Amino acid sequence: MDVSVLIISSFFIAILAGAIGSFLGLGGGFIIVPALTLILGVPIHLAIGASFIGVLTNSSSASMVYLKEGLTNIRLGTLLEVGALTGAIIGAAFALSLDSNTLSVIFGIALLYGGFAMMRSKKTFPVVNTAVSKATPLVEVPSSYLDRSTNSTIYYVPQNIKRGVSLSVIGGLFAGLLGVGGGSVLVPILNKVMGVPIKVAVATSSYIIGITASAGALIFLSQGAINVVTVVPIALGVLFGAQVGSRTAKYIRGGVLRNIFVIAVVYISIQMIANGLRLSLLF
Amino acid sequence: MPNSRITAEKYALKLLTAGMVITVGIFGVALPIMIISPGLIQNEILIIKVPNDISLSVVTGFGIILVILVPLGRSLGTAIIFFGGEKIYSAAGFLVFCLLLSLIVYSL
Repeated sequence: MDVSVLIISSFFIAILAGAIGSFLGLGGGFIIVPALTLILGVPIHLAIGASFIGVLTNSSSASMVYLKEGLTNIRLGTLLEVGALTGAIIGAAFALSLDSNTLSVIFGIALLYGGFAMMRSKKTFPVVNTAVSKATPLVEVPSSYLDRSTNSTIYYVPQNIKRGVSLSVIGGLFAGLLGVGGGSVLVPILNKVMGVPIKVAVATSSYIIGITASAGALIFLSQGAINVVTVVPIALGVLFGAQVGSRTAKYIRGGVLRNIFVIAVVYISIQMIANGLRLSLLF
Repeated sequence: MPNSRITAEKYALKLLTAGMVITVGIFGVALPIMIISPGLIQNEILIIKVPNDISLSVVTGFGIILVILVPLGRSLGTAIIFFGGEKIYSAAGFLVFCLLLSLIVYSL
């Protein structure tokens, strides 16, 4: 393929990945890697290397918007980053020795289960309307945000902090192993396990995945798998796409966002299982 | 301690904005050049060799490394900002900073 065509095509793929990724609190790696390898024929290692940089720029770009909107829970994000980064380092180290096809299938099945569990869940996540000062800050990280879709301030107190931090290791582990941001695991942890409203979960996940992607990018950089031809259009495209996605997300109701997320999770699961079984899917 | 949280958010926002502005500037210049003259990349005119035998473009290499290092600065800033009142977040930020720094040292 002509290099110019490759660069332009990568740029438009990245815009799409950035918009969808930031919209859902994911890094966009789940679109970038399959698109670069299946459509443009880029070697998988270079695609993953570019994906890490794309995830990083997506996280930074989306986080800028979410921080301005007051959606990101920076204290909760800082706590979860510890687990996610630890997992990402362990995952990246294991990725070199374990069979990627087997891992891909296992992760795909786990993610599929998570997606269906999220879809079936009728649980109403806690929305606390009591005074914030009543909670214990170091344990419960009380916070609030302005929901623009309903024009009301939502107060919430995240639950199961220790469990959430422990589980975020798994998010980081998969990010390091598979070259994604880990948002597809972190958003369910924040929303389902910790009871954080979905919009805050998406925003905080975007904030956290910058750390896991940074760890992955450093490892790939040390192995010379960061290629200029793929990285530059991916990074720029994702930046533009992320701005579109994160600006659109705030006007959409949490339920709609959750349904879109479930569909994305199911799609990623099928894609990963198919890749692990060496089956090729176009969509 | 809402003030620490607000300060941390402002710091993170400024850092991310600065990183993104520089990155967009560098990549924004590099992308059209790459599209118009792909030979520059293929012939490695823009490429240099750095000590660990990693091939990076002079123009984009700086932007790529900057993007990677933004989370490092972010975690250090969080550790410093929360140090006064909320030690648990300060400790978490510092731990993330140390882990990333050790990874950078290991990688390079």
